[in-house]
Amino acid sequence: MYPKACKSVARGQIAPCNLAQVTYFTGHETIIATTRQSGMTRWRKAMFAMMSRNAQQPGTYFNIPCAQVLEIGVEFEI
Amino acid sequence: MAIISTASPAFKGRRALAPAALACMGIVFGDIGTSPLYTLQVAVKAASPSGAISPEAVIGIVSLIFWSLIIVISIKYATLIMRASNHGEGGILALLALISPQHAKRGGWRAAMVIVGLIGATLLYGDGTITPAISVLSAIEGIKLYAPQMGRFVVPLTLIILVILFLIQHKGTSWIGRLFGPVMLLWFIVIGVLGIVGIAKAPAILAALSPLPAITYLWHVGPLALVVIGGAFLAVTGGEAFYADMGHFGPLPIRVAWFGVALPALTLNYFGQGGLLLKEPGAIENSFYQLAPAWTHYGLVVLATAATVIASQSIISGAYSLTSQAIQLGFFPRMKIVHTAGHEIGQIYVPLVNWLLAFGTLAAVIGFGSSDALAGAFGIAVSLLMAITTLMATFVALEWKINPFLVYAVNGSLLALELLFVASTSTKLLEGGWFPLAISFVVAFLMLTWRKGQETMDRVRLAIREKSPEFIERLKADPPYRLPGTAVVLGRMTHGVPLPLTRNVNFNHVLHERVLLVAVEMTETPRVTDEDRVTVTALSERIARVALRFGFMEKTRCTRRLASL
Repeated sequence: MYPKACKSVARGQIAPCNLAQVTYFTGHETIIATTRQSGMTRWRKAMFAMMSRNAQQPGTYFNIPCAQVLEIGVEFEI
Repeated sequence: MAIISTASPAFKGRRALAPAALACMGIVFGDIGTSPLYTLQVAVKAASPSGAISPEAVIGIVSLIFWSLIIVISIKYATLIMRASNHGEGGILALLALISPQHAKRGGWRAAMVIVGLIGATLLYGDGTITPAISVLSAIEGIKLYAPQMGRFVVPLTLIILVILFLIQHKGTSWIGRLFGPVMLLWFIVIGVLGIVGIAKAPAILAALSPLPAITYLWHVGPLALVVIGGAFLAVTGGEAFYADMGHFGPLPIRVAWFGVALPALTLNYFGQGGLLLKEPGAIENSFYQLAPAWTHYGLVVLATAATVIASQSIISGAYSLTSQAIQLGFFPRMKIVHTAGHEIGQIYVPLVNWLLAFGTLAAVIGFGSSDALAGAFGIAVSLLMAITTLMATFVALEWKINPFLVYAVNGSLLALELLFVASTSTKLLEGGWFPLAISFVVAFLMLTWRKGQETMDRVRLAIREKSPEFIERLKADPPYRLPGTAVVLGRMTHGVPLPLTRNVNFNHVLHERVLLVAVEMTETPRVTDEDRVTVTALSERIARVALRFGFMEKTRCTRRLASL
């Protein structure tokens, strides 16, 4: 359970880590449909925002133990 | 088209040829194998608006069906298209991935092909709602042959079978999957034998082995030809499965099972139905079931129902795996995918897709009510999809530097033929063809919106993310409290610092001892080799960036991959 990456990356400067104690940060994305970004009409952006709201949380999708996930809210105006 | 990559991981579970060929019969040939239930009678009825059935029409249509099976299935799908493999995987999305949508420039031909390919993929959903409906209906319709008063039970019985089928999906279907191959083998033997009986009734039908009766018939019949071709096309609607399921079996077992069993059995059966119609034109009401002697009738209905349920199951499993691949390739939002027990086919279950498909299929059964009526809705989505597959394979073949003259000649003629099928199935647009197309366009619109939205989001993310050197400088200048342990920050891109981390530092003034910025990248290959799986770059002595790659056929198991670093 000690990822080699943690060791190999900084050659000993980073001590081995235990995966069961890792904190996973993911973003809880809230998308706000505005007219800031080009490319889509506003109602299409609103539809995209709705799809995004209903999408599965990234933690579940990436098969991460959900007890170790810290979701931080981030909002995007598009 | 010359690249056959057999040395791919897709084939690592490859079994001996005979069991693999048997298994693929249950998965690949369900749709095409159950087409004799309705195809000939639909086409012959279309050819006989006055009700009188001419021998020329019967022989011409049987010949048309036979040569469609030869050109579209045997030549295009069983031989040519299977060469366009994405590391062993086939199907419209694997083909689309070969076109490399991630590198498509806006407005370029690649971007245009991506949209065309996406629409092709969505046509499978339209097809997926119609195929179970028409197949099971056509099998159950057998009960009214000797007992017309049973006609009112056809739709309710079909609905019950389909509802059960959709309800058991969440349990996974691999436990029953091993029965599929043997049942389909039995089905092919039975319809082959029935065909021989029919041919013996009127051997004159053997004239249809030549393409000439089809050509002369279509030439003389005038505008009706288009409708007749649309009917005959129903015989080849299952073709796309050859390509879509290639990765599970490898091309060889599919070819062996097709040329060794399915093609001969289907040919015998279509010719047998033709022979029967030559001798007894009255059999048109159900030319498939009337081939069989009365005492076998109900047994045959049961076998046909089993075969059509198998066909429906393959379509449903296909829709799940299509959805899962589309999510991985970034065309759909992440949705709940259940990995049921078992291996290979039938291993995943997508609840949302299951319920939407169930809704569409049941609506189709109720709305259309009979296989003849559904035949109008069927075909158009598949013929469009086939034309799109050919078009995309052409681009891939040209990219692979295959002799362009050969590519244009072969794919050009196939495309011309398929556009003829598109035109002929379009004649039924108002009679139900709109139904699968409407489903497809709604799904395509959702997919394109999601893709475009993601592009916009990536642009915005890149703009508001702090650059990693600046972030590291800032940490040095104003060090946050140091928490023991490791933080893994999941993000989408390998540039800049993900917002959740910046937020955590800004608001909480803390940072873990070790921080891994993990960017999960989906590749355009089905699987990723272990050497290509991870790239680790140190940003500072505490922070490292990890790019974690998954193929579009793989499960995104991050923890496991991090553990194996």
